[in-house]
Parts: sequence; C-alpha cells; structure tokens
Amino acid sequence: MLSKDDIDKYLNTIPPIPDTIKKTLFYLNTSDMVKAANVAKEDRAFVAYLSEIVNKPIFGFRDEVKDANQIFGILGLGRAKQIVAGYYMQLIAPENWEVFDFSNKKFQDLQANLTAQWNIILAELNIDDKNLQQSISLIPASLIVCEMLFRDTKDTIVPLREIKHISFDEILFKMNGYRLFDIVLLIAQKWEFDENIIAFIKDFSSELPDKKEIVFLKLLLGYEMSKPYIINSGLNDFFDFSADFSEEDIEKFMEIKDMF
Amino acid sequence: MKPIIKNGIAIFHPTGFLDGDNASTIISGTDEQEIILKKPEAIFISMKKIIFLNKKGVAYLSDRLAYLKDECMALVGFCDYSKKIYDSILSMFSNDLTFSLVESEDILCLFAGNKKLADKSIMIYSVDHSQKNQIAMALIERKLNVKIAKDRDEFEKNKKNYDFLVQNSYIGNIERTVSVFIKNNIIIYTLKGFIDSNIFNTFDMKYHRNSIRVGFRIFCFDLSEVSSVNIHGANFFSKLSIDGAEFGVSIVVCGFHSNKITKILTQDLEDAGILIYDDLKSFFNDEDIVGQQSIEVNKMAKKVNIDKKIIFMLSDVIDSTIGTIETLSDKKAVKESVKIKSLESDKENGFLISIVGIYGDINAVLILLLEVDDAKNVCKILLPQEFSQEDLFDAFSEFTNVVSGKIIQLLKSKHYNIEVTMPRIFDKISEIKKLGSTKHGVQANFKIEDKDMILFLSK
Repeated sequence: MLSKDDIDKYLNTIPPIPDTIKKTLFYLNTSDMVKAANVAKEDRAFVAYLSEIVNKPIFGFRDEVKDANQIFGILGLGRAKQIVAGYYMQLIAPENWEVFDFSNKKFQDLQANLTAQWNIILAELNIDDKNLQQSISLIPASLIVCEMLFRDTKDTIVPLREIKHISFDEILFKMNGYRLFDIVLLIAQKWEFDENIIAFIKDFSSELPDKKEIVFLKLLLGYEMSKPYIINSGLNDFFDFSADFSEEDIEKFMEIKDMF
Repeated sequence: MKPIIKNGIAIFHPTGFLDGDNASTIISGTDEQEIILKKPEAIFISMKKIIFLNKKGVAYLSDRLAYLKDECMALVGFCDYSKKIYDSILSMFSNDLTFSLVESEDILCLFAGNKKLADKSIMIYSVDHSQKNQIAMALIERKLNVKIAKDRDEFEKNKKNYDFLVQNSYIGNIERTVSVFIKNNIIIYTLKGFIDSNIFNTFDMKYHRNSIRVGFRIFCFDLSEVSSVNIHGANFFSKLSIDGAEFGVSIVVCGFHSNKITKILTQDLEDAGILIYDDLKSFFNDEDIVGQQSIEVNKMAKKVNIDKKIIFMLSDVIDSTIGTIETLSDKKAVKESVKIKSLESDKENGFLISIVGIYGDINAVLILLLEVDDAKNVCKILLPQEFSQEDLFDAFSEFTNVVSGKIIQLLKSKHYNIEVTMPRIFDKISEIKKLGSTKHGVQANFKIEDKDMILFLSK
C-alpha cells in the first residue's frame, strides 16, 4: 500500500534543478539565445541530451546538430524552452524501468514525438503561447511518477491489473487520495514551473469541460499511446480519459496528424 | 496486450487509435495461447476508449477473433462502443459480420459467462428482424427473461421497467458446443448440436476434473438444444459418471426426449448411475438431490493426505498471500503457528473464505480465510465506493486470483508448471467443511493486528 508518507518520501527524492539549467532557462526567457547556449555548454550531459533529442527523425534535420548554439538557433526560442523543460524529466527518470516494459530511450522517443507533434498542432490551431508549448514537457512526467511509485508494489499491482480493468491513477487514488497528476503538479511547483503551465496541467487533469487545446492534447496522447512501442510496453491505457470526442475535432486531428 | 478474463469472458481493452499499424499488437500470439488455454466462453475487444478506428484495424482483429472462435468455440466480437462506432462497423462490413457486436460489457454478460442474471428482465429492440430474433433466441437459451419490443415506440415507452436494454447489438453465429455456468453450486454444461465422438475433443476434461477437486459434486448437462446423441455420446456421459464415482460425483442429464436418443442408450445411461430429468426446471425442483448435495459430498469425500510437494510449496503460498495482503491493506500480518491438522478456527462466522484448486506438477487445494473487515480492506482497490455482498464476493474472488497468479509465477521460477481453478467464495466455515478438502492439511495462522487470518493447504 502506498501511504501519504510514501508520497512525501518520494517527493523529497526529487532533486532541485541544477544551476546550469536554471541559468539557461533564465537567458531563454530573456530571449538571449547566445548566453543560454554558452551556459548550457558547461553541462556536457545536458548538451548530449539536447543533441540526442533534436537529432531524432521526428525533428527532420538532415545533418547532425551537436553544438548548443546551433541547436538553440535551429529550434528557436519556444522549442528550445520546451526541450530544456523536457530535460528536467531526465533528473527523475529511473535508470531501468520495472513496472512497464519501457526504457529511457523509448521515453525520449515519446518526449520527442509529443514535443514535435504538439508544436504542429498548436501552429495549426493558430495558438501562439510559449507556456502552452512548454506544458507538453510535463505530461510524460506522470509516467515516470507512476513507474517510481508502483515499483515496490509491482508484484501485486501488475497482476491485479491483469484481472481487473483499473487504471494506475485509480489505484493510487484508492490507496491514498492522490491522483498521478497531483504529484506531477507538486513536482512542477518544486521546480518552479510557470504558473500558467501549472494551471494548464490542472485543467488537463480535471473533469472540467475541455478547452480546444486540451481536447487536442488528449487526441494527441490517444494517438501516440496507441503506437505499437507503447502498447507493447503496457502503457496503452495509461491516460484514462473519455474517448468521446466530437466528429469535427477528430476530423481536424486526422488532418493535422498527416503532417506529423 | 493482456486480456482481462473474468466470469468466463475475456476482454481486451485497447485505447486511442485502432488502425492497421497497431492492430497486430492488440492480440499477440502469447495472448492467443493464454486464451486458448483458458477457453473462455466469449472473447471480446472493448471499444470504450477507442477514439478512432479504420477498417484495416477492425478487419485484422476480426481475423484473429475468428481464429480464437474456432479454437475455443467461443462467442467473439467487439463490445462497449458508441452508436457511431456500431454503425460504422456495420457499414464497413455491409451488415454481414462473422463476429458479434455487443453494446456494453454488462450486456455481454447476458450472452456469455457465469454471472447470475436469471432474475433480471431484458427488453430487446432492433430494426433488423432476423437479428432481433437471433438475439432473443440466444438469451432464451440461457434461460433469461426476455421481452421483444415490437417497435421503437413500445421500446421507449417500457424501457424504464427493464433491467437490461439490448438495442445496438448484433449476434454473429454462436457455434459453441459446450458452455458452462454455475447455479446453486452445481456446474451446468449446455451442449448443442449432435453429440458424438467429437464431444471427447470439445469437452474441457481438465476443467471438469479440477472442478471436482475444488469441491463441485453435481454436474448437470443441459441437452435441450441437442439434436441427437449416438452411442459415442452416451459413452461420454457414462465415462464421466464412472470416473467421478470415487469422489461422489453425480452426473445429471436434462432435456432428453425419445427422438434424441434410443431407449437402449437411455437405459445404459441409467445403469451407469446417470440421473435423467425432462428439463433443468424439474431437476432444480428435485430437493432430494439439489438440497442434499453437500451432505452426500461429505459422506463420499475421499480422505487425503498431505505430501512433500505440499510442504515444498507452502512457503511460496505464504509469501504470495501475505505479500499481497500487506501491499493492499498496508497492515502487517504476523505468523502465529503452522501445524499439520484439520481446518480449525475459534469462530465459525465472520470470515470471507476463498478456495482454489491447484493442479499440474503439484496438486493441492488452497483455502484462505480473512475476517470480513480485513477482506474489505484488501479488496478496497477493487470495490466501488458503495458495494453489495455480491460485489464483495466478486472482489474477494479477484483478490484470490491475484494471489493465485503470484503463486503460479513463483513456482514457475522453480520450474514447476501449475494452473489454478477459479476461486469459490464462502462466508461460513461449515460450508467448506462439507467439501471434504479441510482434513489433513497444513494450517498457517496469522494475526493482522487483532484479527485472524488462516491459510490452509491440503492435497
């Protein structure tokens, strides 16, 4: 059983954001890409991560991009901030996945796919909001939180899910009253994410009537989570929202999806 | 993607987009093997969380379902969809489906599985007359209380008076030759078509033998849908009767008429100790056998002993059970004693009791007793906020399945292949004592705070 104390213990293990990353983000927020890139270069692991993400096929760059200045230059301000926020996930990602048949490489693929596809969706919906763009980085954090919280009880929880169709979120809620996104939000607060991003994630995880961007984020997650690499990992039913979308929204999404 | 198999029904729960790219990952080869092994009565794909589907995805899955239908003689198809998805699948296949469509998981339980629904009322409406009749026939065969609405007006006007409404379902051919359900602790097999030597292939003897081990003693074959029985078919019933005699098993056959079987074969069956009734109703009215079944069982119960294998598996059984209880209840279970004895408890009532048969490389019967409050606590995740006694029994049965699953995995890691039966749930110790598996076993007593927990393992 996961008690509230266990949740607190877990939250205490969340590391603070390293200074290099904080400074990089500070300069990106002031639109100073050169200083941001110069600070980023001080952290080799961070540059390696940036390079690995932007060179994934979904970003569509023909030649390999390695240098931080080059990376930020190609990405532009909005996408650069998005990718830096995505790096936060590396701080809490497990070395090995135990609850799900997943890996950090697959997690990075998921992050890259969601990031690139979300940008296309926002552009097609004519939404130009850097915070909204950045919020996609926090969504996959729920997978990591779930993996970390349930790994000690996986011997019971995994077989339980084989006999009853019950989501991890519901199990967590019945155990201690927390939802997975409550914990993601606590992490986001600890990491001092922008209030607008936190508000968007709150809306996303609430049962309020959906705004357009939330509808399309849910469609995007439904699409990405139906891919074979996700189904085979046992994560297909991770996001437990209703599948009741309007025909108009589905049609629009299918049009946008062809641009992915 | 693993299906959830419950009450004799297997359901896959994919989410998101269903197309040609991902359909092959929904039912994998391993899933098919698991399903074939368990032979559920129905195999369905839930569309509840499907946002978008295309014909390629549905066609791929319907092919796999067709394969499973042949292997398991099961009802197969898609369930839990919106009207939009229902119409779209019908139009994709030009209203000519080789599989079934059932509008919800609840309604699926009317067509298959072993949920007790005899007291529920059902109203059917469909614009397709042949479908309306086929659905009604399928439900009437399952002894359900069905009303067919003659038109939409009648349906709308009266629907509030019915427990179940069937209006957007499509039943493909049901070709099951053997289906099974449980009523009053009696296993009822429903047979269809012609009963000949093929029955030896289609009847799940492993399931039958293990049901005997778990304590079922009366097995009733409902032959009202059977067209005829030849000498090989009659031999099959005789063989079951003779095989089960040492355990006090009674084989009952209902729905025989002179045009289905010759007089000589009927006499042969009677000589083999088979009880013959006109129909299920007259059998269940016979208090002499239905009411006294447990007493008979007790008299006939075979005395068994524990062996080395039982002792060998004891620690795995204890680890799996206690680990699951502690994880789900957040309480510590403290071992008090382990003794070889008959099942004993200071209290007769106040427990929830589950019993499962273990078979394969090791044969055993596992009985688990938890005080009701503890049972509710370990089942908390599985229970709705407000629940009935039936919900609690169901949840306790699911909890026992988790424990059984862990035992199977632990023993598999030691190269022992075992399977387990579905759990039976009781709330009185006297009831399980009648089953005859409570003598000569290993009893482990635990305390969960101040409450008793007993684990009993016998052969």
